[in-house]
Amino acid sequence: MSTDGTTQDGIETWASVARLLCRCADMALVAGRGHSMFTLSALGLGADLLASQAMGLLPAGVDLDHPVPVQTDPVQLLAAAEALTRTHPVVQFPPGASPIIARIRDLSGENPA
Amino acid sequence: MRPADPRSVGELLLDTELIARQVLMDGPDLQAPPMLRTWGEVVQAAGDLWRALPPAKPPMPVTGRYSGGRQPRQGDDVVMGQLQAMTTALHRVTRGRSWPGDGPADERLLRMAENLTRAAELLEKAAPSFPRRPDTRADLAAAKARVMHALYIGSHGVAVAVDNYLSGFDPDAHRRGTSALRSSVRVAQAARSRIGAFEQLAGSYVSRTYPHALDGEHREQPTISRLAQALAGWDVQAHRALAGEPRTAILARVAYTQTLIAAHGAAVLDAGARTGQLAAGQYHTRLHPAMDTTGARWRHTAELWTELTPPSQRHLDPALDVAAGEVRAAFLEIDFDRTGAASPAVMGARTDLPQAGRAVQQALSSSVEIAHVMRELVDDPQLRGAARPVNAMSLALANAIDQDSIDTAPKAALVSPRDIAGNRATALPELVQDACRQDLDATIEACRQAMDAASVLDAPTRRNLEATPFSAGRLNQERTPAAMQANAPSRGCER
Repeated sequence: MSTDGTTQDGIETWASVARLLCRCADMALVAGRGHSMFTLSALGLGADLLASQAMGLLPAGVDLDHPVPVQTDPVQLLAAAEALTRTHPVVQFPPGASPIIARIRDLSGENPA
Repeated sequence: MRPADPRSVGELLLDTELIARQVLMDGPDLQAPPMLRTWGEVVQAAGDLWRALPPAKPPMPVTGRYSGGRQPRQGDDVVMGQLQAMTTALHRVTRGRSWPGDGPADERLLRMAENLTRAAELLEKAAPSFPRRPDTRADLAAAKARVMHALYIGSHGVAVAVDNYLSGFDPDAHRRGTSALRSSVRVAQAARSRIGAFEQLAGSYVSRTYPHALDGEHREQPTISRLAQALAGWDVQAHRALAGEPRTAILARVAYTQTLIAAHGAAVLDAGARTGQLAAGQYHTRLHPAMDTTGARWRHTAELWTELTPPSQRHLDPALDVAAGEVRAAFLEIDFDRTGAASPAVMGARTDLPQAGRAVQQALSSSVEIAHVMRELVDDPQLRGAARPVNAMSLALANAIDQDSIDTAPKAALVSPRDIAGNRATALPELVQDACRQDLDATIEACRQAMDAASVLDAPTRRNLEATPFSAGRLNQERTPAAMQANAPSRGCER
């Protein structure tokens, strides 16, 4: 455990949150094939931006490419990311996680599962 | 002399809540003594504000024998009264003790108290003219929910700070410590227990009201120029990013944002056409199909570049994130209603649709340029993709070609196995470059067609025509030169 309260488990969970957000962004594009991108682009770009910010908090060397989440529904992927943020006290995540968690919840509110 | 605070009551309450949230973000760094010294002021100011708010129900005639001529307290007021009483008791526990003692106040809690006091002053000034409408009552409920939520979060912050203080003591060591130390721990424990009760009571109000009470909160109209500024800012930032180190992640992000601009731009234009603020006929026959095609093309381009960009490479320059986020927020402020698209009437009420349409029209023009810059980047030898997705795409493209070929000779590897093992950045094989070029050529063409079709937005609308008085040109008399008019003196009259 580091001095700022961040734990190894918290870092690994945070990496999973980032992976789920990335997958959510990718799957929103796939789900948009032949459909309107109105809601999906707002969801997907929102998830992509949050993923980018979430990755910025992680230390170097954390594997973000594996494992690839298996879900394909972007809304479920977002819900899974949101649920993961509730598995640890916020102090165990990397510093700066709080505003990102708040935005993940806002995005979930816009896209209820 | 300090300039007067120009913020409205709503803005002051929102700022108060945001400060409370910021307090929580500090977690382990929170300091208990300054927070305990200042917390009482926050609750006092919140109580003053609560009393300044107009009653939710109209005042009843006071007839009771034992009422003493005062209005009975309403349910919400009772909760606030309890919270104030708890804070007074907390103050009694900490007053005159060596801990937390005298010292500096907590700056953020002080700002919360100042905001609440200023809001109460504004309300007291406006009290005689409070309108009694359903929307005012809904806004009042939202204001109470915000105040209570700020107290709830703030009290949690104070509790975390006191916990931090207490966690620094070893129980055995403190029993053996000086009387001053033992006293400070006792005070901290008592304060923690009272703050916990405060948090629980405020939490019970919050759980009943938050966030649904905010639904009725008065909402300022979106700034009309926000969308135009967001789109212009995005254009600048996208060009900057594309001019920097070429990365597939940047191309993916730019294409994703352009997908959103196409989809939400179409929604804004559609609302304008449906409400008669934009030329509907031309829009439906020309611009709508072109917008659909552009959106589909950008989606395809975004999917292609996203495939070439593994998650580990998606952390981008925050400036690009901010610009894309602002575009998203500016559109959603106009065209999104809780969980889906807003109706054209709602969009029309929120913003000036013709002006928003002009912003979208300009974005369509700049999207042609952005697509061209992306197309040029495909030929840039510095452009690299992650080896594994590049290899997967190369194999898929090669297999598609092989299905039509009778050549069964083994093919050379397109991506080095060593690069694949380490998923290192690798140059795009010609096959992948060709696919990217074809994709972007199609996107450029779609953008160009949408830009041409957007010229229909310059056509006069039904409303414009109705607003302009009919004119078939100048009247005959106006066209006749003055010298030829009948009442004018004719040539030679001077004689």
